[in-house]
Amino acid sequence: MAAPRLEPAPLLEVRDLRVLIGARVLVDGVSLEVAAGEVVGLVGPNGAGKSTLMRAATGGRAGTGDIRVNGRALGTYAKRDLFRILAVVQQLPEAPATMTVRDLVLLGRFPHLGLLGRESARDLAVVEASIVRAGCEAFADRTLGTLSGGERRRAFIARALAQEPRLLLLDEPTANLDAEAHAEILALLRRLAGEGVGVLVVLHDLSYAAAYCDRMVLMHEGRLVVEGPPARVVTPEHIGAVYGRHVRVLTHPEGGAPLVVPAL
Amino acid sequence: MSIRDLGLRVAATATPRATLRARLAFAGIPLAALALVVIAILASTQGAAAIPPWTATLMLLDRLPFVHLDTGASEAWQRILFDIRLPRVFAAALVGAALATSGSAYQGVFRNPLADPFLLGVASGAALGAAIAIMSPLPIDSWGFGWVPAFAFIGATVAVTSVYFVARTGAGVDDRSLILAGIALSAMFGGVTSFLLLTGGQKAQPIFEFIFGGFNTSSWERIAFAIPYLAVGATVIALHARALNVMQLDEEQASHLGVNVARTKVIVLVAASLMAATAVAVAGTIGFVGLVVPHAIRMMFGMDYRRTLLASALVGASFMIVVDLFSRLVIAPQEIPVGIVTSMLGGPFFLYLMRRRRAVGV
Repeated sequence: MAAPRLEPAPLLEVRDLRVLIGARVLVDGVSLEVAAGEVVGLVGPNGAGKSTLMRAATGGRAGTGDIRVNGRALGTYAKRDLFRILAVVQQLPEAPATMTVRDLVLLGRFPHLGLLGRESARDLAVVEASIVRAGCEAFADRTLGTLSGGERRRAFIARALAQEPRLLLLDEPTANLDAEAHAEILALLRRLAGEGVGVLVVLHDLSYAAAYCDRMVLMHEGRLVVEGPPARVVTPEHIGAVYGRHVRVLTHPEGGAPLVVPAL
Repeated sequence: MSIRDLGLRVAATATPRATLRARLAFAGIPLAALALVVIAILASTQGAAAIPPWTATLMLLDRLPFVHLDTGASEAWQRILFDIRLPRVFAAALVGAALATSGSAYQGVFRNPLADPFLLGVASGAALGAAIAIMSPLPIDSWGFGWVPAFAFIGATVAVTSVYFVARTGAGVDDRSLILAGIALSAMFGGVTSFLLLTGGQKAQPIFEFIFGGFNTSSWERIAFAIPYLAVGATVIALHARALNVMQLDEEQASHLGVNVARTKVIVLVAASLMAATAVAVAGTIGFVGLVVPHAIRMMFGMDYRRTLLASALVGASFMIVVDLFSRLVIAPQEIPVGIVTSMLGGPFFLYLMRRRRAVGV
C-alpha cells in the first residue's frame, strides 16, 4: 500500500502536464508519480484524458509540463534507451494472426539488439522468462489467432516484459474480458509489481481497480480529481461527482474495499 | 479459462507445423542457393543448340581463376554459353531476385501481403519513366549508366508514393484501396506509355520491351549497370529487416519498441522502388513475381524478414529463370514475352489469395 517511499526518484514523474489539440484541452495540469513496486490505477469516464496522458508519458503526444522517466527528462532519451526502461501495452494491440506467441515475445527484444544483432542466448532466456512471468507457457507455441481474449492480453504483456522494463504502462488491458480473465490480468500486474516493476494501468472497472491497485488516480474532463489509496479515491462523493447519480459505492463484505455498483 | 481447458486447447492445436517450419528455415537457405545454381546451369544448356549439362559445368569451372580443364567444347558452344545463354540466365536471376525482394519489402511496409511492384503500379510507373527517357533528347548511350534507369526510378517512386497516400488508413493499407489505386495508376501510366510508343516512330521501338517484359535482349553490359543499383537497394532493405519484423505489429506498437516508423517506411519504400525500377529497366514489366514468391516463402519459412528476404531473393531468381526457360522453349523458335507468362500464372494466384483473405481474414 502507499507506504512512505525510500527511492530517491520515482520511475515516472508527471508534473503539470497539459495537452492541447487545437484549442481543445485534453489534459489540464495533471501531476502523478509511479514508483517501483506499485500498481497505480488511472480511472475516469470515457474522454477524461487517460489515454492521452499515457501517450504523452511515452513521448507519443506533445504537451507542456515536465515528464521524467527514472529521474531523467523524457525528451533527453533516445527512443531505444527509453523503451528499455519503459514498456507499453496499448489498447487493442495488433499482430498477424499467424504469428506464434513466442515470436511475438521475441520482438520485445528489439530495443536491446544492435543494428545487425542476432538474439543472444541471453535474449532467448529473457524471452522464455517473460513467457513464464506472464503465464503464457501453456500456449507459447500457438498462433495469436487461436488464443482466447485473456491469453492474447497476456501474450502482449509478455512481449512488453521481454523489454525488461522497470516501468509498465497499460491502457485498458482488461477491456472485453470475462470476470475470471479480468481478475487474472490484474493479479498478474500485482505479481509484476511484487517483482519490483512500477505499473501504471488505465482501468474502467472501479471495483476491480480498488481491489488490485495500491493507489488510484481519478481523472475527469482532463483534470485530476483525486489521487491516493483506493479507499480515499473511491468514495461516494468523488464517484458521484464524476460518474453521476447512477452509481453507488458500497463496502466489500470481505476486506472492506470499496465496491461500485449500480444505484437501484 | 481453467487449466483443464487450456490443456485441451493445446492438445487440439499442437502444431508440428511450427517445428517443420523451424527445420525448413534452418536448411532452407542453403537448399535454395544450391537449387539456384543447379537451375541456372541446366537452363543455360537448353535452347536451339543443347549443350550437355556436365560439359557446361566444366566450361564454367574452366573460367574460374587457376582452373584449367579440357572441356572439349567447340568455339560455337563457348559463344552460345557465355554470350547468349548466361547473360540471359543472369539477367533473369537478378530481375527475379529484385522483384521478389522488393515485393517482400513493399508487403512489410504496407502491412499487406497483396502489395507487389506490378499491382502497385510501380512497374508501369518505371516503364513510363523509361519510355520518357528514351523519347527525350537525352543521350541513351546503349543502356550505360544513363537516363533510362534514373527515369524508371523516378516513375516508380511517384507511383508508390501516390498509391500509399491514396490507400493508407490508420492501421495499415486497405486491400481494396491499394489494388484500386494501383490499377488506376497502371492504366494511367500505361496509357501515356502507349501514346509515346504510337507517336514516337522508329525511336520508340525499345518501349515495346518495357511493355512486354522479357530477357531476349539481355547482355552483360545491361547486367553490369543493374548490379550497383540492386546492391544498394538490397543492402538498405536488409539493414531494415528487424525493423520490418517489428512493423508486422501495428505502428503504435512498433514505435513503442523503438522503431522510427515514418523514417523506416520512407527508406524501405525508396530502396524497394529502386530495386523494382532497376528490374524494369533490365527486363520491362513482369508482374506477380513479387507477390507469388514472398507468399510461398512465408508459408515455408515463417515471418522473420532476416530469413525471408534472402530466401525470397534466391527463390525469386530460380523462379524467374524457370519461367524464362519456359517462355523461350514452349513454342520455339518463337518466344512468349516473360511478362505474359507470369501474368497468366500470377493472375489466378492473386485472385485465389484475395478470395482466401476474404474468407480467413489473414
